[in-house]
Amino acid sequence: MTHMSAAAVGKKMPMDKMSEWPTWLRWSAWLVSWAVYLGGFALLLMFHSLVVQGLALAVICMGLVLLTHATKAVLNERMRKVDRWQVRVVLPAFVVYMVLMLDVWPTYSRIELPWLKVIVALLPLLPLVVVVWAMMRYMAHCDELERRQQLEAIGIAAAVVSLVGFALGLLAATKLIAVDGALVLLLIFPALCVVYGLACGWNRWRWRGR
Amino acid sequence: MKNRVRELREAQGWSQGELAERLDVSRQTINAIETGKYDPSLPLAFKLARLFKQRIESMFDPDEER
Repeated sequence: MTHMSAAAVGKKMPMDKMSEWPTWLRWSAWLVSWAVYLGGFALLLMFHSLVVQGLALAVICMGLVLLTHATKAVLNERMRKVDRWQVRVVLPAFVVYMVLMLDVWPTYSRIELPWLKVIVALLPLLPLVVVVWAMMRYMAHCDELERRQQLEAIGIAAAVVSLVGFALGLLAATKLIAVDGALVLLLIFPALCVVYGLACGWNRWRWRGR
Repeated sequence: MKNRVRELREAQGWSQGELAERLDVSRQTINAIETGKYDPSLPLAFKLARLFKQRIESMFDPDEER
């Protein structure tokens, strides 16, 4: 961890002023950010034209940036250099992932060459590798309490996802339910991310202080 | 562990956020240390002691629980 100089402490970006807003305004901004973020996904699901998809991706990205700043402001935390860096890396990776999943990945059935088929099928993995790398770098720059919170969140995510997976496996093995193996494998990573995110949020809230 | 971080911070006229920036940690970490919910690591305890120009044992009392 690097020690910040007094000069660096004083330098603030315009969005950082959100932490100086009154409490009700910070909470309103946080709710609006969620609305923008989820609204983008709703647009993406409802319309399938390229223009609307592009617009929806822009709305989701705007929602993510707003949400990052508003969450920090609600918790009375500042946006650090590593927080801004993470947003700058994760956002393009997310856009690339969505474009690959929406427009490139579905074309694999029309491809004749087997090696090209494998490449196209695995392409969405690339931006996810970037996201995982960004998360690892982010954790390395967090302070000791934040790392403890993240370790707890990773533990909770691993426990929940593996137990749910095991339960599904038991039910499928006894033929009580029918499970699509490929779908279950595809859902492991998003499920880990969602439970990790929820556990992180719960941990931050638990330790927030007043 | 009981500590004098809040007292020393307030004597300097700093907010939790300002102290957090000076130590390059989050505000909630400062809050957790001040309220005795979290005991800092040795490197962070030394950083605090250096910042307030105190001896580490005069800032933290391991015999007293909050």
